[in-house]
Amino acid sequence: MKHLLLSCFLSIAGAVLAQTMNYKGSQGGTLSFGQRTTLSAFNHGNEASALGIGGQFRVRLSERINTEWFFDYLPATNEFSRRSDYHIGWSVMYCPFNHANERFVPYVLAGHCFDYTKQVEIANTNNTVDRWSSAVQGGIGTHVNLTERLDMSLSSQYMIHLGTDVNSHTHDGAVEFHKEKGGSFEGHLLFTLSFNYKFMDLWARD
Amino acid sequence: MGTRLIKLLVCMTVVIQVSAQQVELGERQGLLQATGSLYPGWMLNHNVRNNYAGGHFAYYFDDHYSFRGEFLGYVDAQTDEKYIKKHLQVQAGFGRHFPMKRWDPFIYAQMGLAGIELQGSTNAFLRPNVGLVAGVNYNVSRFFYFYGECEFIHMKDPERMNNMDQLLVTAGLGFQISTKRK
Repeated sequence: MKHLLLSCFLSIAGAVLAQTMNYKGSQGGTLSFGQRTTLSAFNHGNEASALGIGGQFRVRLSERINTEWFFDYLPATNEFSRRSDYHIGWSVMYCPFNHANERFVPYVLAGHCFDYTKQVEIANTNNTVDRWSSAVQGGIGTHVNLTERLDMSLSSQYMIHLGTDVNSHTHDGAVEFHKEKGGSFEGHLLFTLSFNYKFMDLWARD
Repeated sequence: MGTRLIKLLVCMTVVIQVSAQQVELGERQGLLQATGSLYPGWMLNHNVRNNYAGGHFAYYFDDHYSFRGEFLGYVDAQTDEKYIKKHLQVQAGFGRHFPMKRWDPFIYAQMGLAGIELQGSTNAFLRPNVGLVAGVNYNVSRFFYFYGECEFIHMKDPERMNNMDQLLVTAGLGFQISTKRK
């Protein structure tokens, strides 16, 4: 059984992954999957930058318009608390220049995101605060087409949370968490590096 | 016994048929590699040296590019001072190769997740990390290769506002087969 599975794996790997893309007309319909890492530079004074990990898939709608659906996990350890952010959302990427087959393809992007944030006091893990909120993000980036199927993308975007703000303070040595309603437009600057592999053309019909 | 022998022969036939790779001429597309090794490491933010055991697999979807997955498990510290109690890590990434006949210098950019517990703590954490690998393979035959590599891993310290970067080195023997058809 193991030998048969190995044979099947070799056949699939050889037949699918090493083939060239056969586009039907434009590159619209391209489905790709990728992994991403995000560096988040938070605005608040006592909060450290976070290094995140995540995944995404992209569905290209036309030669110049692409969509990206992502999930990120961004933990950070601050002076007296630990913060974890989870982002799930989507962005639309528009390539202003028609350079679909070039090495560098710059784009602007904008999108929505839902996010969950939890903060825990390091010295007392029972002292926590969490919140759900939504966010909008926008920025610029560029694809670097390494092969016909593989691309590396680098983007910089600003994300603004529209819901309740959570923050931490120390009063007389005790850590206190605060939830402030009204939307403070708290945001952070995100730098994302991703590698994406194009699997198939969804629009192709034979 | 007879069924096993037939399955083995079928598998060998498939492997031999698809192993048409001319690695000695620099062809790499379709190559599937796997290996395991020991990884001595230096912590760059602490005066501690560690030992890891792990391995990786790689698949060349192009003569110059490959996908790679890697796992590492913490064994112990080489020094009296220890900083890590438990550490398991998986990473995946893409690499650029510069094949020259049997030689294959490469660089990989990787990202992944680590489960980690530090000395003096009872809390375990999941922490993202990124890695940059540089090394070289030497293809001994269609089925074996020697390799040596150096890996820089960047991760945030889960207990403090600090980085927990490490430099790992490893070398050894790897196994490979070609999935490219004749």
